[in-house]
Amino acid sequence: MMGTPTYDLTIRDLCRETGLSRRVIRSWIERDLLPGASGRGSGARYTHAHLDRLRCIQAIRDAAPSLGLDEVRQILLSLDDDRIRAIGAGDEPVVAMPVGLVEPVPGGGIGSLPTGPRRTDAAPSPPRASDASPAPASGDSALDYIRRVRQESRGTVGPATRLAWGHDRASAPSRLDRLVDALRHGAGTEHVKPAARAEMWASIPITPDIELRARGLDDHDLQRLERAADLLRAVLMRDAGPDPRAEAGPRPAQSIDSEEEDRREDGRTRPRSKPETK
Amino acid sequence: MSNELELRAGFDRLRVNARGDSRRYLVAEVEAPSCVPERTRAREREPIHMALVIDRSGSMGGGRLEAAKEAALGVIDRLSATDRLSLVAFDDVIEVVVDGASMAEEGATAARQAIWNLLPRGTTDLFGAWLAGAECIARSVDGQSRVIVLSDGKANRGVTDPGEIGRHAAELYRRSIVTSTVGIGDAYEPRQLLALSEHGGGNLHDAMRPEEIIDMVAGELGESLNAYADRVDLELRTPHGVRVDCWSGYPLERTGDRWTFSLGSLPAGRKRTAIFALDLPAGETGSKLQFELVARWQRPGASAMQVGEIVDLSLEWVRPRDLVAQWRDVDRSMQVADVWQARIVRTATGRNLDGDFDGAQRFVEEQRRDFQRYVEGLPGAEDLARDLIRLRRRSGSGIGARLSKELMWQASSSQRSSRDYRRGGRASWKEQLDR
Repeated sequence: MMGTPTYDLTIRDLCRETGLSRRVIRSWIERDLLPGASGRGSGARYTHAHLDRLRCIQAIRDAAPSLGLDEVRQILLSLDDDRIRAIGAGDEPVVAMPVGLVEPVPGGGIGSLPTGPRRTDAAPSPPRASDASPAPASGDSALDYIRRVRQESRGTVGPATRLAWGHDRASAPSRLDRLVDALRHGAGTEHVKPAARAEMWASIPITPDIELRARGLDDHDLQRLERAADLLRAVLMRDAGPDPRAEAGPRPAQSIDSEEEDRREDGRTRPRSKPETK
Repeated sequence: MSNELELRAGFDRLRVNARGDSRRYLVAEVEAPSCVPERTRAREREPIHMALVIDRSGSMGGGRLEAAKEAALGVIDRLSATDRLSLVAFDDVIEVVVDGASMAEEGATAARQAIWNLLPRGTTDLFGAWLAGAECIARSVDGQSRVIVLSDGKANRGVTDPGEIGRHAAELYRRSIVTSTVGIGDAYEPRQLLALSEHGGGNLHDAMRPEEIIDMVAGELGESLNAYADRVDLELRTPHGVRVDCWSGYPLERTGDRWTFSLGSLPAGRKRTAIFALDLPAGETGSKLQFELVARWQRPGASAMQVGEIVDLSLEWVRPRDLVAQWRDVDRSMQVADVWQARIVRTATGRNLDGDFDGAQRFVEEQRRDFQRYVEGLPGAEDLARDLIRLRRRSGSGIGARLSKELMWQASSSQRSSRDYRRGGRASWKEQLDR
C-alpha cells in the first residue's frame, strides 16, 4: 500500500519544475495521463507523484516524439510508481522506437517491442534467394484471434448482430457491469462527466477523503471501476447538495485556477493548510 | 525486370564516426513486377473476399452514405462469381448485413438489395464493426482478404485508443487480413483510421467529398485485383549495438539484431520506399559495419513466404576529421528529407489535435534545427527549412479539422508511398498552410 500523498505543490510549482505550461498540464489531466488536483481554485494542490509523472511523460515523448497521448497513457498504465519516478528522473532509460506499440523492456527501459507472438529465430544463417519459408507464425488463426479479443473484451467490443442468421453474440454482464448499472440508477442520470483518473491500476479518488482501491483488475475491469467511481461521485455530490463555491456562477476551471495562483504569487492570498474536503 | 520482387537499397553516407554517436539513413525500395494485369481475369487470379465496413451513423447523411452505397455496388459489379463479399453496417449497433456472400448471381442480387436498404442513424462503434468485418473474412480460408472501413466519425464506443486499435490490426494483418480505411469529411479521427490501416498493412484515404469515396473504394479493389503480394516484409540484420528506427512508420518486430518491418500489401508494378534511421555505436577506425537486407513476400493465396536476394551493405568507421566533406548520395538524402518532413508534420499535427500547441511548436522547432543541418547543401534546402518554419507558426493554434486531415493524410502518404485516388488531387500541405 502506498502512503498518504502530500498535496503540497501548486500548478505553478509543476510548471516551474517541468517547463510545461498550465494549459499542457491541464490538457494531460483531461486526457487521463495524470490525476487531477486536490481542491479547486487557490486550493488546487498536487503531489510529488504528479511531478514524477509529468517528468516521465516528458521523457517518453522526448524519446518517442511520434507517440500520441493515448499511447503514452497506455505506457503509464504498465508502469508502477517506482519506474515512473526512475524514468522521470532519467535513472531508467527510454528507448525510442518507430512504432507506437511501446511497452516496458525486460530488464528496464521502454522500447517498442512487438506485443504479439514472436517469430522464432529459426535460421542462424541468412536466407538465400528463392527459398520459401513458412508465413510468419501467428499462433492461432484470425478467427481464433477475433474470438479471443471478443472474449477478453468482456462486452467492450460491440457484438455484431447477424441479420441473415439472427445471431446475437452479446456477452453476459460482469459483476462490475451490474455495479455500474446500480450506480447509474443511484445517480439518476447516464450523463456524468468523467473525472481525471488517478493511479489507474490501483487507486481511484472519489472525493479528497474517499477513494476506491483495487488490485488485480485488468484494463476492462478498471474502466468499469472508473465508471463506477464517476457515478459514485455523482451520487455523493447530489447527496451533499450544491457546492457553495458554485454559487458564484460557472467559470472556466482554467481562469479560476490561473487567477488564484497569480494572486497567491503576489502575496494577496495564502494557501490553505490542507486540502479542502466536503 | 524479372518476375520477382526487386529490392534496392543504399545509405545516404558511407562513413561513420569511430567514436560513436553517428546516424546514417538507409533507403530501401521494393518494386513489384508489372506482370499481373492479365491475372485480373477471374479464372487466373486467386478469389477475393472483401469486407466493406460502412459507418451508418447520423452524420453519414447528406450524400455520404449514398456515395458509400454506390461504392459498394461498384465493388459488386467488379467482383466475379468466385469472389465473396461481406458488408457490415455500424453505428452504436453493428449489423452484419451480408456475410461472405458468393458473388454468383443470386448472392450479388441479395447483396445489392441489402446495400440499397441501408439508412443513416446512431453513433459510432468503429472497432467492433471492423472486427465484425474481419470475422466475416476469417471464416473463409482461401484467397485474398481485405477489410475496407468507411467512416466519417470518431469512434466513441468500444475500443477507441489508436494504440490498441493498431495492435489488433497488426495481429490480423499477421494472419493475412489487410485493412484499409476511408475517412470521410472533416470530423473523423485520423489517428484511429491511420492505426487501423497502417498496422493493418493497407492504406488510409481521405475523402473530402462524398463522390471521392467511390474512387477510393474502386482504387482499393483495383489494388486487390492487381495484387502482386498480400504481404511484404523487409528484414534487416545489423551488427550488435545498432539501433534502427523506421521513419516510414512501418510496424516493427525485433529479434536481437534482426529487425523486421511489415510494408503491407503491394500491387503489381508498384514501388514502396522505406527509410530507416540507424544510430551507430563506436568502433575501430578502418573497420566496417556489415548489414544484410532481404525482402520476403507472400503471393496472394500462398501459404509460404518467398525470399529474395540478400543485399549486402556496409559502413566504415573513420576518424572524426575524415567525416568532413564525405561523399553523399543526393537522391537518397532528398528521400530522407521528404520522409523526415512528413514525420515532423504528422507528430506536430497529432500534438495540435491534442490541444498541446506549445508542445507542437517546440517539437517542430527542435526538429527543424537538426533538419536544417541535414538538408544543407541539398537542392531546395532553404525551401524545405522554410516549410517547417511555417508549420511551426501554424501549429501555435488550432489548425482546423480539414487541414489536420490533409496534413495527416499527406504525411502518411508521403511516408508510405501510397497512392492518391482523389479526383483532381489537392494542393500540397505546404500550400494549404498559408490559406
